[in-house]
Amino acid sequence: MSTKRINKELADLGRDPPSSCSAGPVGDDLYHWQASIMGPPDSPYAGGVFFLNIHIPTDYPFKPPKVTFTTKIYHPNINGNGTICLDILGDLWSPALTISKVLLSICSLLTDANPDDPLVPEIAHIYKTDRSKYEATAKEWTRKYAI
Amino acid sequence: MSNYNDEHGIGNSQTATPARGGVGHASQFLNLVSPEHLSRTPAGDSESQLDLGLENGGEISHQIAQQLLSAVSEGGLEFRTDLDDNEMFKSPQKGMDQAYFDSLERINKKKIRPGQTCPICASEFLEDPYPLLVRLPCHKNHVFDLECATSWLKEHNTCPICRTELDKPKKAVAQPDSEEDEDMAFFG
Repeated sequence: MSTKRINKELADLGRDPPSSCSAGPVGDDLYHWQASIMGPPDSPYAGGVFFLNIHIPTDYPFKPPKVTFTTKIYHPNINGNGTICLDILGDLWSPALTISKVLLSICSLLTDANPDDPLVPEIAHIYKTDRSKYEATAKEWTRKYAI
Repeated sequence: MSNYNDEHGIGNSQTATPARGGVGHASQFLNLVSPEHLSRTPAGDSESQLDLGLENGGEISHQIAQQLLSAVSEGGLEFRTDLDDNEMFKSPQKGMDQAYFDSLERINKKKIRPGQTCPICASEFLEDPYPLLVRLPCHKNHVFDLECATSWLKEHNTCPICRTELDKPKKAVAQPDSEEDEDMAFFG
């Protein structure tokens, strides 16, 4: 079942691609995708292009895809390994969600971080106490690693 | 500390039917039981006998149940957590049971619009000449292939579209009007 559903998602992405991201299989492996997200204009990631790895489990869509950033990014909910702390990638996954919707949620996370559920407490602390310092560092990392 | 029954949703059910979600997890532990006990249970029938053992203290699987209990209390659960994010062990009590699946409203294919797809497998309902379709009680448009719905609800208690908790009493009757797919806007 997962193959059919993944192929449908791929066809939908080709027919109606989201404006700020792209995604598709790496080579012939339908279960391993690469995606890219444009840094949202109203965020310190603006101008950057961020790449992500997506591993789709064989029991997809009953289990969530495993999505990680491969581009370094300074964000309270994304750690140095690229691991993303996002509820819909864990407990709040639903089989009605799609890769496309997951990528859009990650875009939202870049605009609106969730410092109360941080993966990197140090960044969350700076985000909460010194927002301009957070934005400056995030912009610098974007310039260094994502442009 | 909660006991085995609490952790596995056994005994939570109001009906006499064993909680399928719980049994699904319990059957995983059969791998932890020593082979001589397993060999007394005919292959393929082990799950149903396990039901009896856990629900009624039945004769054959009483011993197996004891083994399972000790495996659990000794941390036997840990052995299989590499399988998948520990998810099945995080919320084992959340699945719906067979009685619930049997109670779901079946939808005749005459009520399905051409092109309408299952939100889980994304296949068109009418591709199958004899589709088995169910509607979840949360909304009139929340229709799924029976197989897709049960696969999800065996381990979860929420509607895939609106996350309504299906084991809680219904708050309102589904609206009879509105043909729009506004439900999908939830994830939009």
